[in-house]
Amino acid sequence: MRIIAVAQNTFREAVRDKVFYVLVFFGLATLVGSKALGWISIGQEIKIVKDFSLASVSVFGVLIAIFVGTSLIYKEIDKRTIYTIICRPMARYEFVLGKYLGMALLLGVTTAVLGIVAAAYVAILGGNVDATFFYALVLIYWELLMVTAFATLFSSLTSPILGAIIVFSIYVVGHATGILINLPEHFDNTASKTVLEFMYYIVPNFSNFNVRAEAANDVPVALGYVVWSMVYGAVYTGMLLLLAAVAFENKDV
Amino acid sequence: MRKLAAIVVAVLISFACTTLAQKRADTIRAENRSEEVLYFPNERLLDSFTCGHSSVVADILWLKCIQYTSQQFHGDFKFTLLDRMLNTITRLDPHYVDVYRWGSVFLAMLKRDNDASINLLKRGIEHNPGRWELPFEIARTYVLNRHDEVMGAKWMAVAAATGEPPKFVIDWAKNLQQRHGLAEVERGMWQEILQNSGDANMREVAQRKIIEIDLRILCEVMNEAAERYEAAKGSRPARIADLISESLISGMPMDPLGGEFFINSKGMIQNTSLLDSILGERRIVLQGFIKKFRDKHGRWPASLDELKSEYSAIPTNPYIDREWQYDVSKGEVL
Repeated sequence: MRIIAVAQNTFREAVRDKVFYVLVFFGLATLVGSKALGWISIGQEIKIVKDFSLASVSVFGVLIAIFVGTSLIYKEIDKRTIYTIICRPMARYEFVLGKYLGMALLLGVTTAVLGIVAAAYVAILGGNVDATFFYALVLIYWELLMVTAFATLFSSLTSPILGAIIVFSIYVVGHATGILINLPEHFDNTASKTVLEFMYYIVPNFSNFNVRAEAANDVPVALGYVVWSMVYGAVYTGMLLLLAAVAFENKDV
Repeated sequence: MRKLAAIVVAVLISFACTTLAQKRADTIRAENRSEEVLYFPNERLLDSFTCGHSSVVADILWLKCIQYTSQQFHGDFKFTLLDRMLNTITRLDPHYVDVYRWGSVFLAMLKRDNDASINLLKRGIEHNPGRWELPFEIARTYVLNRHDEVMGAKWMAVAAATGEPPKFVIDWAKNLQQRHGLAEVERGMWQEILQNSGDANMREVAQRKIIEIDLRILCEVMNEAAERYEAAKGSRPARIADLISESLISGMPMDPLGGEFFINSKGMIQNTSLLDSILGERRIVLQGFIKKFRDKHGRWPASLDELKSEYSAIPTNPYIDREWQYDVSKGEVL
């Protein structure tokens, strides 16, 4: 119950944030404006609109997750509003979890709004909105949940700017994990290969949540893949939230 | 008031300066445009660091590729970097079928590099095995650019057997196969099934298909005779008997399947067994469209014209003098 109360407050607070509206506005503008790029291409208007629609949901969602998420807990400490909360009979982990769930709700609403607009826009233009398109949206949301978990962790450890830089770096590296496993032949039977393969399973693999190219090209995606990617994301997110709770527990506030 | 005027003047001067600078920059960029494309990014780096947006980057690079092709078309006509650009784009988005198609056209028709064009399409087939458009483009490159109709026929057959090709692809494939004696390859395949298949139904189908091949060859022979008749008499024969009386064929051939040969309204000799076989196949396709229509609208189409207004690939009746008979109450083609 206390977690839900914190979550509701976090959601209300984030909705009032001007950054949120600016990013949603730019997300919608990119989505609608993508048709202009289709005009100057040769016969791939729908594909380009789908690509840019899904990319705008992802990019602006990640920006919201990073910029709003990294200031979640820090802002409470900076403004000293945290003291009015922790003096109440509430465990610190409940506070962290409530903050995270508030952000998750905000991102859920954002993804749903942008996703529905994108699907309607593609359908109006005569494109095919199939199951893969919705799988892509679900996996984008799952990715945002994981990015938010990182943002929450660093929000309880460091300042928002530094936190944003670190989370953004993790996001970039998390999309390039393929280079750790697809090594050239001369790496075979070397210690480097073992180390890099080990890192592949440790570094967050955000490319698991990317089926946007398949959705744009109407290539089917197996439901099993979507489910396993979601399991991966849920477990990783749970671990990050545990670390965030421990970090906040040990913080001298 | 004076302060406001000063600000407005300052803003105007600033815009004048930026406009001037922009024009100068555009001029220099236009002078060095060929070098600009040299900075086309390396696909391996791009693939890893697009943060999952490789498909969007592929879209942007494809627009750049179109611009480059246009510049070269109106300029040097060298297209030196075209292969690299297309490789990068298709590596970023291996399912971008239109890039394989248009890219292969650019390579074959503009750069005159048929090998690169065919290789690009073959890579496309590896990633998109269910798309008929890619083998179709290979067939077109062989036929139009290399004037190699035998290879063209082979790839057209692949296109006809891939995904859901439109009717014209299937017709082209059949025509090319017949023209280049690929019927013997088909005969060998059916004979193999006839001798080795343990399934009685399959053996029956193979037996019929072998007879159909003979009937097709007989039709071709008689149509060639009809052309010779036309060259001599100035008009197509009215009856097949006319060809016998002119000793252009030795006699009326027999159809083991019980059908008969006839001359249609365009003067072409056809066989009813062959046409009935095609009729059966096309009726199944047509029934499929009718079912699709019902699934979408919750009712049978009022007429086949209504169906045609919704789907462009409705098969025609193989008997050119006949129309499909449609029972609107049951949604059945008779």
